[in-house]
Amino acid sequence: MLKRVFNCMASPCEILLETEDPILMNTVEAAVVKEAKRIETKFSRYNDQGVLAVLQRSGGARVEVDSETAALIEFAKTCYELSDGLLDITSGVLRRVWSFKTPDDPVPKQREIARLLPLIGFEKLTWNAPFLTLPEGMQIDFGGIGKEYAVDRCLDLVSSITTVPCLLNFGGDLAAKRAPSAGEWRVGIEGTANVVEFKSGGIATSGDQRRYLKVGSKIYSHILNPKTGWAVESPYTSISVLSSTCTNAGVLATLSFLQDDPKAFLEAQGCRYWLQKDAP
Amino acid sequence: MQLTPQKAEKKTEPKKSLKIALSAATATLLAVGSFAHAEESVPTEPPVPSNDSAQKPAVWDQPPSDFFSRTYSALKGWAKFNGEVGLLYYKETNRVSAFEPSVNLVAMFDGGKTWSNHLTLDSLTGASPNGATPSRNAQTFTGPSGNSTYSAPAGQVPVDGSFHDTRIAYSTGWFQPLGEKYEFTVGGGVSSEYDYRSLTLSSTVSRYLNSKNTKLSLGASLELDVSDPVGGAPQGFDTMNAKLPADKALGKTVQDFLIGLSQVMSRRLIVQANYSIGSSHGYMTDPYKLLSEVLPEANVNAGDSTGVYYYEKRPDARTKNSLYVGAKYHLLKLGILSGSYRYFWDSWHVHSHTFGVDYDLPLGPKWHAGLDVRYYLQSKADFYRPFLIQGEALPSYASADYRLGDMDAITVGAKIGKKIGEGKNDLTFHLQYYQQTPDSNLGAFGSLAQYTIAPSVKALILKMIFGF
Amino acid sequence: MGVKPWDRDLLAQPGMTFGASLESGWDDHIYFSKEASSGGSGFSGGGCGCN
Repeated sequence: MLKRVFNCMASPCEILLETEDPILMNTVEAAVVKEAKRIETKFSRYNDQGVLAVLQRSGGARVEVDSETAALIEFAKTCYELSDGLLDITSGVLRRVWSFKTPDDPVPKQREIARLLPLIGFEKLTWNAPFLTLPEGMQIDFGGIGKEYAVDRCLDLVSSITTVPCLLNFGGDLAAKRAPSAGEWRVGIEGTANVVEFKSGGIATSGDQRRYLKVGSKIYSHILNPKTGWAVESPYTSISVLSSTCTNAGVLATLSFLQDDPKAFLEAQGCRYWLQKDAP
Repeated sequence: MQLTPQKAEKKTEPKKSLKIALSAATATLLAVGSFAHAEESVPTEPPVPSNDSAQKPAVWDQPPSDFFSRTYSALKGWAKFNGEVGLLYYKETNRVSAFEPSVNLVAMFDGGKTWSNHLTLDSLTGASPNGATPSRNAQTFTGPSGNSTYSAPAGQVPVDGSFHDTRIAYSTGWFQPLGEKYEFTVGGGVSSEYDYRSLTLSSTVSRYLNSKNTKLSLGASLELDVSDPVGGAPQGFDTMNAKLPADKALGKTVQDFLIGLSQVMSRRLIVQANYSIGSSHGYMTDPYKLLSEVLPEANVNAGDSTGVYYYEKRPDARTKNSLYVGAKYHLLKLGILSGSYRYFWDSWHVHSHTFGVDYDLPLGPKWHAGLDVRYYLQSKADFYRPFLIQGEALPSYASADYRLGDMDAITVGAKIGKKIGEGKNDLTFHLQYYQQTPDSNLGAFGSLAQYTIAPSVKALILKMIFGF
Repeated sequence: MGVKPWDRDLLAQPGMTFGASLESGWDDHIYFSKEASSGGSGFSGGGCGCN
């Protein structure tokens, strides 16, 4: 088993390939790094030439997006509908008032949040693939599914290069298509003591041990509810889900965080999950 | 908050179908792209190295076929383009009119690098005052080449014979960021008309501070001009009929420096302040302009032209300074309001104030309109002289060019534009009226007092711009 | 003084920049040929015989 590590999307990214052939490993590594960085650059919030910046400058004009962006918007639309509006790619404007750098960062006032609520709502976009009209002041970003999408994308790419079992782990969001000859992959869930064994599928974790706000005894996680604009107060600090793909797992993990009873929700989904309750 | 029985049902029922629907959606998402495939496809061992075409997501779903769409695709992949194409029409009542088609083309590459190009054609017709004063009698002037003459009727401000002049100018610039905090531009341009050529080189470096809220810029430019007037340039104060042989081509160099500060004040307000200083050396006289010599006040025919005309003479050095401040304020749904003020002063003792206000208003999603006003106030160069008086010693320098005199000018304009098609294409029409009024007190005496020595300039300006 | 990066939405609009355009080039040329002053908001980029 060979392993390579690189940095992307503000995380350490690992490629595990069941091979002893360094040339194959080099090929796979080169392809994965290139694709991961391509996705990172294309959808980065900080890229002036990127898709998101172009949309933000559109000033309410209709913009034609490429087929990859169109597919992501289409997926986001499905998630928006399936989640009754709890998963909403237009909710990024809330970052203006919510900061999670340290647990002592201030919690925003209701009126600051109220000011932004008119700018949130997938239903306010006009989406007729491949044309998107983003009303003035609104923005979209794929931060919620970017890393998971990159994992699945890169894994598909590896499969087109070799049939050898491969595990990709981008900062705790991971996936594999084939079980290794040892029978199962063994991975640790980020920030927990849990060790997970699985044959194939994707694991994503929602919630973050380090990014939360603490006011007195109240804990605000960094998952924001787009309907209210408020951070979720949850008994759990992180939720990890195993599903068929990393993207699937990511959606389910985030969605469960926004439920009144995450455990019941995940039970009903019939997927494996891990709930972390460590008091920070 | 009430939970109706229907709502409760809705919550529990689709849970299973959520997983199925989500899986289906994810499968669709991951299927898009040039390497979409089912898991059954078996790649061969040894590994096929990934090639670039597998990496790039398809930007167009149809493969480009003919030459134009292939070129368009290639261009589209190379850079993003935007620019403007437009036409300026300028018409003074009774004097000069100009047609000026222009194109701006900007190519933007990855990393914020930008290559800009500008081409202008400037076609001027008409006549402008030659500096001589009106007279009781008709006057005849020799054209610059010495071969032609033109005349002015009695009592009229003399204008040089109708001319056609076409100028072509091209300039280009390269802009790019340098790391996180710096940007620079280098550029150059050339301009050519039948009696004048100019070459310019310039560069500006900018630095960002305060999370890109402050931008400091430093710029320098060098301009080299060659004036090659028809018939050669006269020596200053040659008289019209006794023009001595002159140098054929005369040059001038201009060095300019600029320091600028741009500051974001708030989400809606940005301000800019610039100071620039420039120094010119060389031939700055207008080779076609004259001054009339008139009889002195004591004479019975005071103010009449003596029939002697002197070619004007300007210093061969000039230092210019300007201080500029501008602000742009976003009024959200009410558009954008801009204001600016410039104070200018130079070593010829010209002083001027320029005030400008612009208001742009969107009218719905497609249309936009605007209003603009500019007010300009100038005090004369110290060697500006509407005429020379016979018997008085010639000054060191003199010019009767009304553009160097005391004056004020106002421009008012209105514009309307519409977004065309999808994207940023826009067509705008802008109509302005420019009126320049020289100081009426030019020291005219005797027979000159009955004439307007320097009449107003009144011009209509029409601009049509297509932006893409 | 200043704003956070995510509050630069309005400032990013083309009408809020001080850059040169076709129109500013024309205006510079008109006023340079009719008046004695020049410059101010940047380099006007090139000479002509009109003054």
